[in-house]
Amino acid sequence: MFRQALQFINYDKPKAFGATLGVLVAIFLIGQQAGIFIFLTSLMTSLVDNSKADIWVVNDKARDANRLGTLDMRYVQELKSVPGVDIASPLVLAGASAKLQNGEQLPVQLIGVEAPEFLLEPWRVVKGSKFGLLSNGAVSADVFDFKSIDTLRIGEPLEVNGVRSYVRTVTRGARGFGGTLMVTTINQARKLGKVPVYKASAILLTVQPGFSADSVVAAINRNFFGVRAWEREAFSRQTRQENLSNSGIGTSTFTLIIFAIISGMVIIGLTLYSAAIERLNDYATMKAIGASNAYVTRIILAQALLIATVGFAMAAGLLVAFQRGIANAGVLFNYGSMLWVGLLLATLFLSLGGALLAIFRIRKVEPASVFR
Amino acid sequence: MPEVLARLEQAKKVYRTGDTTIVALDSTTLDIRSQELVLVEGPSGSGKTTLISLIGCVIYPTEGKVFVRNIHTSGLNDRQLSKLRLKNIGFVFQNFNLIAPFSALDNVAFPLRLMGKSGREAYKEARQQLEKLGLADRGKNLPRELSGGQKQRVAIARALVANPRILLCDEPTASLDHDSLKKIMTELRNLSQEGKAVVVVTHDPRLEEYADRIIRVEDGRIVDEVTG
Repeated sequence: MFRQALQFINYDKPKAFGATLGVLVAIFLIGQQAGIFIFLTSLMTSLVDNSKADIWVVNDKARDANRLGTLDMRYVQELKSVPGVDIASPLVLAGASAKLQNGEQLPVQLIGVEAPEFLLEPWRVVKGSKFGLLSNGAVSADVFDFKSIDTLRIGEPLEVNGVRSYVRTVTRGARGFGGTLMVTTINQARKLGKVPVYKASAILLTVQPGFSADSVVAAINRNFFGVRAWEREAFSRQTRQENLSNSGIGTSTFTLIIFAIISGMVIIGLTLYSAAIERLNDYATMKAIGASNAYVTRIILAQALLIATVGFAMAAGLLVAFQRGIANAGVLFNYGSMLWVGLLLATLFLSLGGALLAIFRIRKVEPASVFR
Repeated sequence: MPEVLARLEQAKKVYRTGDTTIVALDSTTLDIRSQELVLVEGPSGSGKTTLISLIGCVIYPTEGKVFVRNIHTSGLNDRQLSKLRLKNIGFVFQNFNLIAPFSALDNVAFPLRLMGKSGREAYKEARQQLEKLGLADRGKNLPRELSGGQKQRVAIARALVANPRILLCDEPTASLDHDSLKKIMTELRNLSQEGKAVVVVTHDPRLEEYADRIIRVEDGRIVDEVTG
């Protein structure tokens, strides 16, 4: 079966090349869009996903980890008294402006965390450590946000809201959806961001062993007014959903993927159809000799599968190259195994779906036509 | 003792295109027996091709019955009919109809692969069949790389490889010179004497000397039948 399919493909190389190109372009576009989508959604939820907290307690109006509103600091002590709560640590988010020595100025989001708990600490650290943030004026910085500096080094001086500060922790790819992130201690963040001591943006909780996060969440939401507790994963989901529905990123990605599938299917469909039309006489001969409709259908499906395999392998290679290339610009994402399986399924859908037109045509060919 | 391998009983074939109805073959009764070479003659559009298509089970009759080896073909579905053709009927087409993307060897092995034989077995038998017809060194060639005579021999090898009892040949000598025609017709004659039924559709009167029976078809009817 596959041998015969391969012979048909070999015999008409330009069409096989066209169909393979159709698979390659469609799957590459889908994979590329999916990669960017994964990257953007990971930015949306980076604060929550990289925290060590089991529970996020935020203003009851807040639906997005990047726009938290404020809470009264008194909740910290009150939350510590909830059965099952182990650590309750306030978090401060504050907008600021950073000015580098070379004059470059950029808006940043300060993240003030309580030490030594560090329930949200800098991630993807490449130089220094979180403990560097304990020194006076210390902040973290990401190499991708400070591209004007050739080598971002420990001790790099900068001004944050006009206050002399120093880079003490360097990260590579620890970025946020709202812009440049700088992690520091909560006191430093209050000082730089002018956040009053009685306010926090969120309170991060860890749960004692033997207690479940959902029961603690339920207890807080039942007994506290003006705040809402979320399990980390639930808040991550909520943040993603909120940003996707407000930004149109999901719709735009989905639309592009649908168009990539449609255009790929049209290219593959028309190419396979035109190849089948040119070989009608061969298929009619096969049927006259004794091949059933099921048999010739399998030969066309086998051709589609072979084309799909080659097209997918090439697209996968290109996507890995794309992923590595774009990582140098700070767009970091991983194609998980599920996405690869999804791309493979999309390839099969495209190829086998595209083959349908050719199959319908070939099934209609009368074996008697060989006598005409 | 010759046996009836194919039978048409009042078989009629009508083609309808819009308001036009064409009776390609009118109620025809015919037996095709083993050990005979039957020549079907007639002008273009007389119904020869329809007759051979009905015997070859590549079309269903509009009315009447077609039997191949005592099997009534009208009740068979696509799969059963394909299997019946594969096992019992070999075709040699006017334009050879070799499957273009397949090599000569693949063309000959194709019916055997369809019958479910393993690749090794099918290619061994196909190679032997090509050797018998003097094409041992042409197995790897694609049809476009073969001469007309070689294509014809590959087509015959393919028709015979599954050892069918009925061989249907549509203008098998149309593009052959006298020597090649003689070789092919002698081969077909030998096959009929070995027990096969060979049906040859032709316009060529030179083939009459090889026939056991000559059937003349005109306007969708058998108008004359001569036993040699």
